[in-house]
Amino acid sequence: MKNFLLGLLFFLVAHNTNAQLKYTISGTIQDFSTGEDLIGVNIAIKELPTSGATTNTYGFYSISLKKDVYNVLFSYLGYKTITKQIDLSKNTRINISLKPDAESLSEVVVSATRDNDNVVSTSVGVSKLSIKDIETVPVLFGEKDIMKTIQLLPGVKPAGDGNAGFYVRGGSADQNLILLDGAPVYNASHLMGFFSVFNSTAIKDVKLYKGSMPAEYGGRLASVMDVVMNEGNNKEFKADGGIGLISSKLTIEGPIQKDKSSFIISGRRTYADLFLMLVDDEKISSSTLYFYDLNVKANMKISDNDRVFLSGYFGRDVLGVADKFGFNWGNTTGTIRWNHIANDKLFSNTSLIFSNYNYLIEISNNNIMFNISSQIQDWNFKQHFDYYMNENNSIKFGLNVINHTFKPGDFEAETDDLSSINIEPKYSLESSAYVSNTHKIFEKLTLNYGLRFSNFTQYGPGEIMYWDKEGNLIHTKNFNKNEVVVSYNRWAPRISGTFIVNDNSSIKSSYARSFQFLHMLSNSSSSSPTDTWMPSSNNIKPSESNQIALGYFRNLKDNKWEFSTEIYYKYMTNIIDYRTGAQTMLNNEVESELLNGDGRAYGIEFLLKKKAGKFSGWISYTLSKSEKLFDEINNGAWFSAKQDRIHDFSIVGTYKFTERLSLSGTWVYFTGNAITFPAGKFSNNGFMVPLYSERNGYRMPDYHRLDLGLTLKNKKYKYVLNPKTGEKVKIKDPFQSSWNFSLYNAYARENAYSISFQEDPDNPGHTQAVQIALFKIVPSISYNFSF
Amino acid sequence: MKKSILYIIVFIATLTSCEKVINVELKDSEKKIVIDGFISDSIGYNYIKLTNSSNFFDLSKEEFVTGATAFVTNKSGKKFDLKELEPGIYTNPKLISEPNNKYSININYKNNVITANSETQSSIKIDSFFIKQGRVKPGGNIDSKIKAYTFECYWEDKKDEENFYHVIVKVNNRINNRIFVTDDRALDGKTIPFKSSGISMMENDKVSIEVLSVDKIYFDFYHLLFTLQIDPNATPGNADTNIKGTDAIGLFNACTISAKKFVFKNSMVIKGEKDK
Repeated sequence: MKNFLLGLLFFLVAHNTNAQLKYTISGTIQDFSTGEDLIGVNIAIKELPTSGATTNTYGFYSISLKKDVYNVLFSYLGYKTITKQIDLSKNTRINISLKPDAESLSEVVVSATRDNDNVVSTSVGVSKLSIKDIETVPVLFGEKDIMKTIQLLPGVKPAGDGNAGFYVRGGSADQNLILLDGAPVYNASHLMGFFSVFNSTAIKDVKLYKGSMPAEYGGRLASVMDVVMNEGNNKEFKADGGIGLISSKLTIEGPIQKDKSSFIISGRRTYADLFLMLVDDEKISSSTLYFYDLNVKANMKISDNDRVFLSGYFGRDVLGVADKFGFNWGNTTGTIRWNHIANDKLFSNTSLIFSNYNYLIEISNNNIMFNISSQIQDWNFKQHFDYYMNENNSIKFGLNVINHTFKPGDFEAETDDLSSINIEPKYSLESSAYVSNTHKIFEKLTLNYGLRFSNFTQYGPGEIMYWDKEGNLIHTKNFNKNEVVVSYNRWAPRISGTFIVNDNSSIKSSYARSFQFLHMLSNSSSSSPTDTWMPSSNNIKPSESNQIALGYFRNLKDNKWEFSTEIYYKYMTNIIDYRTGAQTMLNNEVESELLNGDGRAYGIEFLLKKKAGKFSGWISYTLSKSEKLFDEINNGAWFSAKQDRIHDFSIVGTYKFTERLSLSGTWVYFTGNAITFPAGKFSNNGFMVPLYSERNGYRMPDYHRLDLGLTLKNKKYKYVLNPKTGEKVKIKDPFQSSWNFSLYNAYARENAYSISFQEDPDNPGHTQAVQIALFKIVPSISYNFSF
Repeated sequence: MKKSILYIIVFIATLTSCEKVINVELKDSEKKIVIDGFISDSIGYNYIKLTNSSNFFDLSKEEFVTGATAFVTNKSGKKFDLKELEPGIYTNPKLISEPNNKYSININYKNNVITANSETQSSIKIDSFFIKQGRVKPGGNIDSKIKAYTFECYWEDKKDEENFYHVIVKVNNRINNRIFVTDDRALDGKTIPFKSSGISMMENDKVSIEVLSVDKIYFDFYHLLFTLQIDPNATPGNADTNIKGTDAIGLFNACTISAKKFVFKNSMVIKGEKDK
């Protein structure tokens, strides 16, 4: 099977290589004013309407054509299109700087030539967002958040108030791989999900693959969210900042050596704890509660063909209750990357990546200090190649090796009265190699096929326990340092196809298999920074998913409206659940508490988007089902997964009154999470014990919420006297600012965070259901500036 | 810990978070026979109670199961027959548990045989016990005669044994609903501290604090209840039980107890040290 696929790949590729002599146009495309690489710029050939290319994540493109004279158009949404006439008689390097539209004073609107990108692009099940897209979407505390906005797209669902993460196509939150400049981010939220770790001013581009990921990605079942940080302006110094009610941020960027190297530093800190001081309760007013994060990046052009990037993220949440309780957690990532243009057709990207997530809880009880900590640390080497073989084939291949070290939990005390508890660290190596080809079979049909091979190896040292299906210890075996405990080999084929029916409609389809070797342990429906990651091991098999999807894309009214619908089905095996009452924290025998089962998810997604005009926005609706099957749960019958949301609806709209004033609103509605309620009760030793019959047989109340935002920009231009002519001249004001007012949960819907059953305080012996809602209405105001 | 996080989450919800009682319709529960078995080394605190389970919101009194026969045997095979002294309550005054023994119950009800085993652990003794002035709860009435106190209690754990404890506080024979269970993983052979704040008492209230030395299945059973109490989003489910029999649920517990019983006087409160 595997050999067949590889053979097929090379056959298909070889099939196309016997064409006549061709030359290559290649180069990089950047923003004229900042020097930032532009991702996804369209390169079109006027004489050959069906040919074209787009730039990769590093702004590089390559296209091979027959000897001739061509008019080449470089176009990108929001930028002025550039046309170059090229007499192609040898391999040619053309580096382009595109000017943003807004830079021009003329009122001529340049429309990007490929407004139908969503129709003709060969990617399937991908959601893309740029920072511009999220600028006006209202959010909690007025803090623009790309991760929150992406959750308004079909097939992507927020985990709910006070919960980190999101669900993609029925998958759980830990099935999303979140990459920041290639580094995995293990906990992508601050303050239990109120903010994401991504500071929007430091972010350039986000792509979310909803399960039909290309072969270069792997390691999670549901999705890959690939976040790329800004590189920094290499032309001039710039500052960008925002002051909000509970947080402020500042970004500084500029050239180190003009046109050659640049840096960007972006920091953000909340000061919610200042509000705590207002509270007339000593315990609360002496508490701390904040987070900060810092994004830094620098890059340097060593030569025309070589560029080196250094990027890092440091974020931390800190909370404390007087001197009795301290809790902090956060991610650190670092990436060293070397881009190398080996030749006109081969682009190489080599990176060494570090990623760390840890938490520390410190508790002081009767002057005895003790602490609990946990850590996951990765060293990651990636080698990726883009090979633009010919007009019809572009190949990606590479390898990726990650060394994971897990310290699931340590309990230490500063006294001999308490023994420490140390959960044995786990070591594993995740290695993958992949190859994929984007292959234009004929004008209207493009296939993208590939294969990813992964090996996951757990190695020593360690005292490894073997558990049977019932959770009984079979035996324990000692492994030496670097001795292999267990090793899994997995092959993941991926294929997707785009059939272009006409200029404004296309049909896309995909099949993808994925594996997941890391599993997040959380036996609660609310997330916590203490949820620990567990690698696949001798007891935990890698999870697998197989997904098929079919989509129809249609643009209406001159590409001003986009419509798409996608239907998907996926089946998952070896997914994890827990024995009743499983303790996932500080439990050396936690693997005996895990259960192995299957999952299935299916649904249909709709998106209708209006891109142009005074009013823009989108409506998204998903009808879906997500279920799980475990021998030990629910008497072995299928039950709804917690994140099973039958209906999921979002409306996002922005109305631009003038260039300076815009009003925006979002409304979300989704079926409440599946939840388990008791059916009966009995008493034991004077305590009331609830009796449960079916897992997730009930629903939380439906969730809905309206958010409103109003953005007022200051005047973009100012008039100055031209000293020579004495005339007033309109120039762009270098200082730009805007006010943002927002209302989160505008009609104060009390959405349930939890429902629990308690004794009625006024009526002992009676039990009542109590719902906790986190937010009513949350108004906020923020001021943003750049100069 | 989860509770602290929840507390802070709820707090940072800009003080707009709110709790409200909602109406939840629950399906009916299948009626099952419930065994509430308890054997201890404390005289008069040994019984097997048989009832039927009820619907969750049911307000009617417990439905007792009468007319069963029951007996208990220990590790050495000694048998104690139980008599139905009150409807649904089966007991034998001679039945007193010994540490490190194993007890089995055997119940026959309408030819349905129900059994369960439980092991007693080493017994412990409360070494010291203190009452401190507690904090007045936010919103609480300072002038009220009912004040909140903090209990502190210490005992020695037996070394090189896996021990589990359940502490039960009763005021005027009413059980404090909060569940306090602990194992000795971090405290093997050391002093185990117990601390509970917010216990409301008045002068002359009859108070008892009981430390039950229990087995693992009992601990797991109550630990799940404890988890559900502190984390409203914890995944619920029926805990494993030691009861074996068709349509039979509940828990049988053979344990040893160390108790402090007293009539509360304000003079017992350790002054000058206000607990936070």
